[in-house]
Amino acid sequence: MNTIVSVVVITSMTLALGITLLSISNGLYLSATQQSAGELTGEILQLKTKFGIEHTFSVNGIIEVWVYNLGDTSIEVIGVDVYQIGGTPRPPEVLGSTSLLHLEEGQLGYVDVASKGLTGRVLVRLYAIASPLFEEHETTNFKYSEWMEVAINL
Amino acid sequence: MRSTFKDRRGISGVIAALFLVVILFSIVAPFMIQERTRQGLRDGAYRERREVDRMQAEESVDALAFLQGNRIRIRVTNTGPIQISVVRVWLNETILWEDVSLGIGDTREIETGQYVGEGECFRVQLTTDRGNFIVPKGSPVRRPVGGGLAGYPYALQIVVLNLAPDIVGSATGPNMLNYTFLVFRVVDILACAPDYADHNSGKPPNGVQPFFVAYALNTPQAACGAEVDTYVVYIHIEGIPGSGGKTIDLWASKWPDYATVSVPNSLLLTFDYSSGCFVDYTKVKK
Repeated sequence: MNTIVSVVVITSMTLALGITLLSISNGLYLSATQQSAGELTGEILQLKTKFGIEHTFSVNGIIEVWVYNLGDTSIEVIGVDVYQIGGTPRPPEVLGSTSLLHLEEGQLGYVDVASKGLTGRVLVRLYAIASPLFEEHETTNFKYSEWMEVAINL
Repeated sequence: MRSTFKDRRGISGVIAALFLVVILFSIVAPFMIQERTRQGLRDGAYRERREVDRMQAEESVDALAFLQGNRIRIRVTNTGPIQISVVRVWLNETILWEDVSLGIGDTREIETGQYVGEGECFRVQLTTDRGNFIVPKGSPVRRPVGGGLAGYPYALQIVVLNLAPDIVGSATGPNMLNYTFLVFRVVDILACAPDYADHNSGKPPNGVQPFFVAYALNTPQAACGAEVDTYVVYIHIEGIPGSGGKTIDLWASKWPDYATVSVPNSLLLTFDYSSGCFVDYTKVKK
């Protein structure tokens, strides 16, 4: 009889311990899954983000920057900065948190940016992010943005 | 009854061990499976991106923009190992939407219909569907005042090929180039020297222009006062490539033909006036 009791007790304890561990591991797993799924989505969408600055020209102090979306995802242009060669471009988080231009796959479009009174040879840097990663007024995902730069004469 | 219980001694330990193994497996396995899946997805995305970049880099085009009847035409030859499609032509700030497919080795001419008035100048650029932006040789297309190109049939145009399209930095693109151009000199023109040996030396406009007409030759026969069948132009070019490239290719063209020279280097161009064609060139190593 004692043996039966001991078997039942040990089995119950093992089950209880197992269920507890399973619950904890499930919780950890779910939490880790949610976190890493976000990171994975960000990394994959960043790889799918590909664009080119096809053409730029300046008219009356406004630079028109034509962007060609070459990637496998729609993109949002989130910032354009004009700065003198040798200077430091501002990151997209500083430039704003709204979309300046939405481009579907294979689409061409343009954004206007003020030349800020700069003259001579300047650099135009454009930041874009995959549309699914973009949230209005939210810059957390800007780490997954891509940039491209061209030099133009003003 | 007793013997049965005796036989089952130690079973609880085995069951517990089995449970533990199952528990440990159920803890570790999802993480491993998840990591494998994640890595697979990441690798797949990398592979796709590499393939797209490779296809884009494999595109190779020889393009030439020229005037025909004062309208701009563009001759495009696919010199790469894959089919390409020209989807847009830029003429200054104007877009022409095109759909010109070229198989390997194919040559096609694009009639833009763009009329070029006297003194007008058009920068030409082609876009392929894979996102290569090509500035044809001969761009910007100019029509000089007073007789147009007919008045300057032997204009030497210098095109710094690998400056275009002015991309100096990019997170992902292949065109990293910084560039300083110091001196360009047409040192001597051997034939008809009294009339043409004016040593048209100097820097190109603004020092960094990728395109400029270096020398325009007017009807040399008349200037020499005698019939001339061939005419030789000696060009010496110097430059300092920037950090993006070890050499700068320059094109000296007698429209619509051209030759190439690396920097620093010299070039002899021979023009055959009887046929009006560029017939030969000789590289003179410095």
